[in-house]
Amino acid sequence: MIGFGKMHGYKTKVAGLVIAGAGIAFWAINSFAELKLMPKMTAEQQGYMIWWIVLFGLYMAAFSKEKNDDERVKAIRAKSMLVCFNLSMAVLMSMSIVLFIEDNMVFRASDIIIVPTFCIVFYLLMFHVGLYFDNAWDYKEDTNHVSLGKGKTGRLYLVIVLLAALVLGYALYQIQIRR
Amino acid sequence: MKNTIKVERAKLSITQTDLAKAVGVSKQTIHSVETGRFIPSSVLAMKIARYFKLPVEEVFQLEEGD
Repeated sequence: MIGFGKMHGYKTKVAGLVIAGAGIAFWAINSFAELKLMPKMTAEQQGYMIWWIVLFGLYMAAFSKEKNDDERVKAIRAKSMLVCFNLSMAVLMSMSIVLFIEDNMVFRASDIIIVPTFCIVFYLLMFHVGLYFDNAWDYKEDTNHVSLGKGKTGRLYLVIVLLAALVLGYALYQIQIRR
Repeated sequence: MKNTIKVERAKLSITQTDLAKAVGVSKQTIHSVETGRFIPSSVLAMKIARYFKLPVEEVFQLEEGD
């Protein structure tokens, strides 16, 4: 269903958002009433499964076309994807340094899933800011060169990177104190 | 790059939505082009000019620094 190098139709985006929304709704209900999807599933396994479903829904939404996917949307998408790719690299390289320093640190599946979640959430945030808040986006900047902190998009990029660093730092801190 | 889309629209009494539908883009794209924030591709520029029955260089003009 999900092909590489190909954007899916707008219906896939709607379906993805429905899946992600259902996952988030289940997670919200689950925090009040402990529901069990499968009888033998532990709370951690169920939490991981819900997170994976939400992430899959967001992934479908992120790699789908808009209703009117014109050249402006494509320009915004190209820049957002560039930023997201840079961010993913920064996050993975930072994690590599942490693993190198803390050589006894073991990441579980539920820890690793943090990385793609942040990347997809930040991509969706950046893309939709460009799409719906025209004044926050600078089309004139070269798509292949977004300077951190320079220009409107660059400032947005800087805020996203700072947020990512904060959230990742907090997540790594939580992983460390749990052990 | 500056343009005269707003003036030409006013002459024909058409909305951004009408123009967007005619050239096959979104209303937001027409708004961004009209305000000079988004530089359209040559294809879109030609489609807009053709809609107004004008040469491209009459609707879109280069500015100093472009």
